[in-house]
Amino acid sequence: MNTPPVASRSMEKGAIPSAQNNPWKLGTPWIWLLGAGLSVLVLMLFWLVGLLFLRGTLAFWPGDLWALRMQDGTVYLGEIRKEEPVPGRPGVSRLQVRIGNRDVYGVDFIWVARDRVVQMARLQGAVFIERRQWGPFIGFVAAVRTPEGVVSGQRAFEAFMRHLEPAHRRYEAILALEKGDIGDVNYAMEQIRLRRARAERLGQREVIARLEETLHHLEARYRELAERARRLRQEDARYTVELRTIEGRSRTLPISEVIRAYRPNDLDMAGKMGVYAARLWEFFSSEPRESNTEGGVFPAIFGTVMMTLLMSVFVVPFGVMAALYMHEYAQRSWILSAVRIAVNNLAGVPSIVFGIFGLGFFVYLLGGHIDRLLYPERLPTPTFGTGGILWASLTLALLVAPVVIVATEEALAAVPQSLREASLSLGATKWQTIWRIVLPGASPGILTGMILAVARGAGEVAPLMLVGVVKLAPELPFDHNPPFFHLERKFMHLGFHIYDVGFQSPNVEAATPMVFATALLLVLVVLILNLTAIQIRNRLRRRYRFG
Amino acid sequence: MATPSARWIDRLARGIITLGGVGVIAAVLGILVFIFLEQLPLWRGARVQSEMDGALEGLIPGERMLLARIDERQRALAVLGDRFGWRIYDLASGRLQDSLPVPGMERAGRLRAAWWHVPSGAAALFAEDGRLWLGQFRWEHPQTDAGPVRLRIQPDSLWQLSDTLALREVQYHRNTGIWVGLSAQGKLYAGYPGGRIEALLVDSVSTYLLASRAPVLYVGGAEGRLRIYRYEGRAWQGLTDTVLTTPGQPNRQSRIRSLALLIGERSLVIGDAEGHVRVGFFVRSQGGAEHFRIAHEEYRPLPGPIEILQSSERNRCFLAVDPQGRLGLYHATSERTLLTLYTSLPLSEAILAPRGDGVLAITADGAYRHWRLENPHPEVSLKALFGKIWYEGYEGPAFVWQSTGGSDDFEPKLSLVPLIFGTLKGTLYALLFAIPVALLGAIYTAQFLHPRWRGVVKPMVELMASLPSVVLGFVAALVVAPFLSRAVPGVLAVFLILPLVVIAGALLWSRILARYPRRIPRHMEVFLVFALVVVALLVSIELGALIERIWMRGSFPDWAREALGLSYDQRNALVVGFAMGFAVIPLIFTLAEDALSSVPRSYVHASLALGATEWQTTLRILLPAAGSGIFSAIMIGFGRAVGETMIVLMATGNTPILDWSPFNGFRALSANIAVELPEAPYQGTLYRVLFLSGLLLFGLTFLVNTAAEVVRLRIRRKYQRA
Repeated sequence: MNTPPVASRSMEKGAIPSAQNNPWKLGTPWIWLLGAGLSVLVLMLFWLVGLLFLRGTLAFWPGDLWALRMQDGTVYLGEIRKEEPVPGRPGVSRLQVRIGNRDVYGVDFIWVARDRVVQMARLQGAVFIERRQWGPFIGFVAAVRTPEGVVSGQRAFEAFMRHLEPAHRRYEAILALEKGDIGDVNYAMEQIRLRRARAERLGQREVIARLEETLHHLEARYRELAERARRLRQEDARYTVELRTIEGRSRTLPISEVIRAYRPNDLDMAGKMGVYAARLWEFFSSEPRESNTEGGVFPAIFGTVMMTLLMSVFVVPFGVMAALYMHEYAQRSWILSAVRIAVNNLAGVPSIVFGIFGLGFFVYLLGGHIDRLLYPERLPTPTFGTGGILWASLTLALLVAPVVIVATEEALAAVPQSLREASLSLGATKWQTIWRIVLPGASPGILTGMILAVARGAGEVAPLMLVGVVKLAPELPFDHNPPFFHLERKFMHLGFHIYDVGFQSPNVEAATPMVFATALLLVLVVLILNLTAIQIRNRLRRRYRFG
Repeated sequence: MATPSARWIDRLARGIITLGGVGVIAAVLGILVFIFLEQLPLWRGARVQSEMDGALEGLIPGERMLLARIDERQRALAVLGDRFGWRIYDLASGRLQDSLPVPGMERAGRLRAAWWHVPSGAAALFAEDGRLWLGQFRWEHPQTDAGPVRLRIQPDSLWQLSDTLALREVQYHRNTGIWVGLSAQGKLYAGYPGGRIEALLVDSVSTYLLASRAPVLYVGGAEGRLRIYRYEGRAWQGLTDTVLTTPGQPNRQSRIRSLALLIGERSLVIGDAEGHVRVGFFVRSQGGAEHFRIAHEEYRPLPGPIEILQSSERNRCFLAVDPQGRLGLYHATSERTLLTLYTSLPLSEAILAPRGDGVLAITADGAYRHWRLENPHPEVSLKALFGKIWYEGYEGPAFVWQSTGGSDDFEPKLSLVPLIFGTLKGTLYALLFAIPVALLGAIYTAQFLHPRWRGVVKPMVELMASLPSVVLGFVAALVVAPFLSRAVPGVLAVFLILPLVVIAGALLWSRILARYPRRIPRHMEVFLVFALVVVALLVSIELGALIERIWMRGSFPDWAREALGLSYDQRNALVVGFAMGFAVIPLIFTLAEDALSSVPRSYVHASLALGATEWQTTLRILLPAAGSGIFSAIMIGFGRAVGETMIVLMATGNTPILDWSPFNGFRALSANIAVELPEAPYQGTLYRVLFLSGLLLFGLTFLVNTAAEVVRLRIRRKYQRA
């Protein structure tokens, strides 16, 4: 017999492998190939996180404005978004320029071939203006017209910036009137109409008469408010700004139409940071504009959070109950193991299947019945018989129920049997044991399961598309009109926002930064939830190791 | 001892938890039951809801019935006798409601022929005194359900034919004003606006049909011969050679006895003397010529000759009747025999309700039987969902998914095969990428990675598993897809170059180690590999770009189209494979790593102690021991890939095509549900078919996961004992 080869591991430090150790025999290339697999995996993760982080955070950075003079004499002014090789023309690259001014040019993004550009310069004084409509305007401030007079020339920009703040106040006043007061009157009128329809169905004459009277009052109030809003608008229209593009075409608009204006080429780092912070705040706090390509994602954040909270309210008590039943009460039998495997496997069933179930069962079956019983006066317009936040949260609750059940069962199993026996032997009832001993011991584990469930639910989109998520919800599912929670309403969701803006948007180029920012936000939320769960789990493990 | 109240609470808690727990488990498992029940009605054929017999009152003795029709709500029955004119009956009671003589046909004697095409309203009557009445009949429905249904009669023109021209049948094309009649001698005559009448030179006519849209004449004859003409340029042009509608059996006596056009008037139903029905239509071949082809003939035949054929005005159902009173209800596309009704009555007329949800059969003496049918999903059959179907206008049988179309007469194409194919294709490409990366990484992590790094890598990969798939799909579509379309050769080169570079690097490193003392500790070697991988990636991309520039004129998609004949979609299976890799790799990695780590260390130590190298130990001890666990990991990854929705929805073009090419898109079952279910009418056929596809997904993943779970549990038990 040959002497066995010496294992390489045995000569850990400093030893020189002898020549007989052929790397092929030792398997070094194959081991390295295994390592390459791991490297690819890690690289993918780094790449994705890096990409999301970079593109997501840069989305709000105010870029410099470049003036490009082309061979044929045309001049463009805009933000250079990216440079890439021209397909089919090796060695030639092209620039994507955001030229804005969609109302003037018809497009706001153009591609220019790099070799056609004669001159490129950062133009001092060029202004980037974010408007409520038509996307940004890129050009110059030509003149400001107010009741106090006209300012033009060099001082126009300063005058414009001075008038911006009062204009915003006027705009907010109009908005408060139209969205707030008039919206409330409209809501009240709608409620009364529905009550009248119900009264008509029941034949309550005097109720109808009373409702008619209220309706008259409301209509008068509506007219009065509308008149006030009209006057405010008239006043607002007297403050205008004239903007000019780089080729000298001009556009005049009310100052209140402008959200933000700055001259990126003249800003220092601090100034740019200021703009960045303002845009970031807008992203978190305001509603989307321009078919979701600009503005903020507040309604989507709100919808996601509310849906997830509702889902937790449904899933946690019931999930824990199911786990308690399976672990503490049920007889051990093959049926129980079969059920356990089945519940386990439901976690792997495609989420879209839950969406189908939600649509068929909750929306059409339950919702349809509820509508026929409780809201017959609104039919055929469905109330609960269409997707809404309630059905969405219930669907997701079912989707994540296996996660909660499995995690809770594991947590219950981790509580030492001796604790239970000690409690029972002291005369406590089973429930007292569970409530005082088992559940407190298992609570970190249950919390872990809950957080994992929330993370799964927050990132899930496919089933929501069937049960109530929309690209633009006019109202939040929670507001100051009683009964405050409007669970039948449709809602917006960060994940669906990504899908919708990235894929259904008419202006994908303009939307891309927003999508990256939204994606980063969603990923951060999900990752933070998961990290918290992992932290809790680790602490839990340590506790029971020593406990 | 516990106080009584504590015992009460204990009992209450037990009750609540048992109820809640069983309820939750039942609800969660009830999903499967509900989805199963929602798709179940697809498989029921037509069912008779109610059957009612009656007799028509007010018939004159000896009067023969020529025509009978029911309105689409199945409330009224209109009967045209040869003595009088229309009589309208209330269908529920059989009571006579209205009598309507046809204006212009007063005192014309007995009617010899009557014809009414309900969808267009065109009608023709021929009486024994030679009067030919052309015009229109139309149902008129009241605003409310309570009022009576009426029939409106509108004459177009009146002809006086000579005594020699005794017509047995007559049909009328309202747009052109042409009528075509069959004489008692079996000759076809055509009349044109202006009064010209000519005999058409067609022999052995047994039945004929004049379409209502284009002036096309179908003539059926003996031995299954079908001839088709079109009135064009003031003459009847033969559209095709004589068609033998009984392919393979030309000598059999199967005379064509009846013809009917399906909705849209592109498919023709042919009933022959042996009780067979067939459906055919014109097919455009590649040269542009059109040929009439029999596309469907797998219907259950009736025992007697098909005397009456009637098609639905709403879908592709048709009714065939033989003289012994046996009726068959069929659906053309799905080749499904929905229902057969045997009456044993000598029927003179049988009517399919316009919506296809009722059948009325009448004998010549006015006794009738009315069936109300439940016939919600005639277009579905096993063959329609999973087999090749020859759709109207297609060159041959094909697997097609196209559930909705623009017009009412659209033929839904509900083959699930392209969708199942799409799901499998996406899964295949995803696993082709994910399995090697995940398994290589898992083996390295379990066996060779320093524990310090293992503690970093494992949670990191677990976090990767929680990335929302909508983000992956969006990155795939908006970043990966455009990049890939510019760098296909480079990306493909990676699969060759990366292993080569890494192996070369390993060999070089061994040489260096052999000559110089080790400077960096062993557990840092992984960074060397990492750097090598990065270098290899960059080299391959650059090399690919070079290849593309030199041999492919700078654009792989154009080159592939011209040189290989491959179409290149920007959002294709490669992109999906990569993006789904992100979703599947962490799953496979984690489970496989767990399986490898759970192999008792004593095995490994024993092997090493016997002098095996680490590599030998990995290959011969670790992998076989963890094999089933790794298999289970792959199964779970498969399950995840099969059901993934957002990535395939966003990263493919969602075109339901059957093509394995990695440069094409596809449409997966899951994405199809997400796209089509919101628009599908509640409990309609599409809705239920989508539920069926959901059930397929459910079943597939559930089976795969259960198998994996069982394997996993078995392993756990095995090593617990060890």
